[in-house]
Amino acid sequence: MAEASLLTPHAARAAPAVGDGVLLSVSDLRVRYRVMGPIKARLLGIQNRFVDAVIDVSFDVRPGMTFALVGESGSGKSSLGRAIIGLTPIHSGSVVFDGTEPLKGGAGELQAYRRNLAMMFQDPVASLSPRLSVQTLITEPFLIHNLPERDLATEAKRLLGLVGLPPDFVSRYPHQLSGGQARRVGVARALALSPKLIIADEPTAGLDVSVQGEILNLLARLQRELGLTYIIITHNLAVVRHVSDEMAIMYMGRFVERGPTAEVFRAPSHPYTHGLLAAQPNPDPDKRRDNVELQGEVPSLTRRPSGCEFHTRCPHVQDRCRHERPLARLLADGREIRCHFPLAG
Amino acid sequence: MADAAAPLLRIENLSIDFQSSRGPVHALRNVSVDVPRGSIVGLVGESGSGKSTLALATMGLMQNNAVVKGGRILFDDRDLLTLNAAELRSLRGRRISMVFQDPMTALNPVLSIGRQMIDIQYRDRGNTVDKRRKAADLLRRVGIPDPEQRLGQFPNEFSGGMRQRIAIAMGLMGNPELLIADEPTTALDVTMEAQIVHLLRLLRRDFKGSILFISHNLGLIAELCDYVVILYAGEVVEHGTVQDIFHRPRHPYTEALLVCDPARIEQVSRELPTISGDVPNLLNPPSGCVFAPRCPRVFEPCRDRQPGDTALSATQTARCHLLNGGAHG
Repeated sequence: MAEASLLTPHAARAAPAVGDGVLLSVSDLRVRYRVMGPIKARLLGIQNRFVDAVIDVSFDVRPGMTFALVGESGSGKSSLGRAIIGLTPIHSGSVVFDGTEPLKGGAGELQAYRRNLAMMFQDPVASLSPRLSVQTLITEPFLIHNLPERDLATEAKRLLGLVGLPPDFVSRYPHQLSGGQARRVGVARALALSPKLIIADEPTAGLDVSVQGEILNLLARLQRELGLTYIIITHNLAVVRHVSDEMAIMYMGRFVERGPTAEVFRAPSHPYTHGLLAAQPNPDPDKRRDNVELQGEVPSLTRRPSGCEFHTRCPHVQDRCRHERPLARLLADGREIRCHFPLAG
Repeated sequence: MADAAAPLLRIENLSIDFQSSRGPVHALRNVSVDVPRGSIVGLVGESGSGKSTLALATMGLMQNNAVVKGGRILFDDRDLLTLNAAELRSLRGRRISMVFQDPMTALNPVLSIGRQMIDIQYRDRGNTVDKRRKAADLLRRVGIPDPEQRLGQFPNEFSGGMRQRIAIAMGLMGNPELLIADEPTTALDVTMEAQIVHLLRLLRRDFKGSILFISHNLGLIAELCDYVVILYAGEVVEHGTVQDIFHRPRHPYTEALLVCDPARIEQVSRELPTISGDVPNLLNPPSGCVFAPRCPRVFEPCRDRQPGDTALSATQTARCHLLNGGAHG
């Protein structure tokens, strides 16, 4: 369903195809959380009182592309998204955006960075304050960023138009919105400051399939018309296949496989990727699986397995995997994987 | 015992209203569902279609503002709607049990798993040692390692997938004939979801019970179920075997649901199909076909007259004007 375009000249930006330059470059990023204080750790005799939610993550995002971060709960995908936007401090590594390193600069630099970058949070109803009207919610970014000269009522209607909601929604409150409408308000809020990059954390979780398509189509249309770049964080592989150009699969905070989405789906190379794809239920009753490829669950981050962290669940584990941590290596088709015995490629 | 050919659960023309300040919400209207003995029946519908209402009505756990306007819920030929609280209680847990959506809130956080699993055997004779052994045995069957040790642990010490396994073990405790599973995997990751679905399949084989499996995930339904019932805005629009529904859908809503599932779209596309419009307001359901306002193939009679059920084969039935002599295919 094609929606009418409602762009004002102010918001319209040339819409490039996926460009060659690099908009966002993340290198060797590590996010570390403190689990307990030094005294408690000493009393309990625990050596490592930190967990690393994200380890050694490096990737580039080119303008106009959609990069998907995939992983199970606890794999670090949300931590990575939050670290990029500066909501979670980074322990080491760097985030370079448009040639600058905003997270290492002062507060002013960070604020300027956050005008170019917006985050759509996971639960749209919970992330909207129940006591604020839709107009207040979607124009709040102007106040936060000291742009009061804008006519907020006009801006609110423009933003609602962009996301395909009627202008009289300005006076509604979150409890009067359906799940899909709340999601659209979340998109409108993210679009308020005309960012270049939007990080969408589970943009379709909890939506019915028919509504899920509407939200994804909206994001695709906005990308075409506004030249937006997306990082989409999700566990829904069926969606990733359709909407992303490149993807990375995370396991225990590391990228185990990264590369062009089409290649990863065509021939998954890391056993974990293969297992994740095989775990997707097949909507054809004649193609039922009778075995489960990936057994068990992700180990605790406080007790990282030695060697390859996936070896405890890997169906192809060999002795070397238990002792030696695989390094990232590049395949011919541009994919990067961390596995001693890759399946293909 | 009733005769073996009759379905274990037969819901007949069930209508349920919810009282609200703006008048009654007609949440279920003339819904009929059969669960044959030993089968897994999938109940599919979007949010607000009434799937959970149906499950809770079968369990006798309806909210206070729910009113049954008509119909019967026959379990083994007894109408559950005519039973009193004590009679229902004697069925629940023993012959019918339920696994809820959210394993985080289904368990009591301040009691150990063992304590909870022993408590729910309150009807059985025998001492605590035997009950504890039975609890450990069930945990082992749902795939929890070291069950003896883990009985002493509390729900927060288990992962989400483990908690759902425990909830399933508790549901199976009384060896029920009917297990109602209301979206048991929505809170879980895909690898855990695949394991739980596999587990349900093995348990059906071992326990020989029937399962009413509620989900909006078409992949899981195709993977697990024998029969499928499609619910839309409080009405059953189509039902049939899993092959009927996935290979030969006849109702436009069923077709649209299948088309919209991104997992079924072979060709990669940024423009995904959707069902335009919104679910009707059930305070005032449409006078004609309930799907008419969103149907891509709507024609004259749809908006005024309710379609009747058309039997398409021995197993498949759909409720659509296109199917009873409509030449507007």
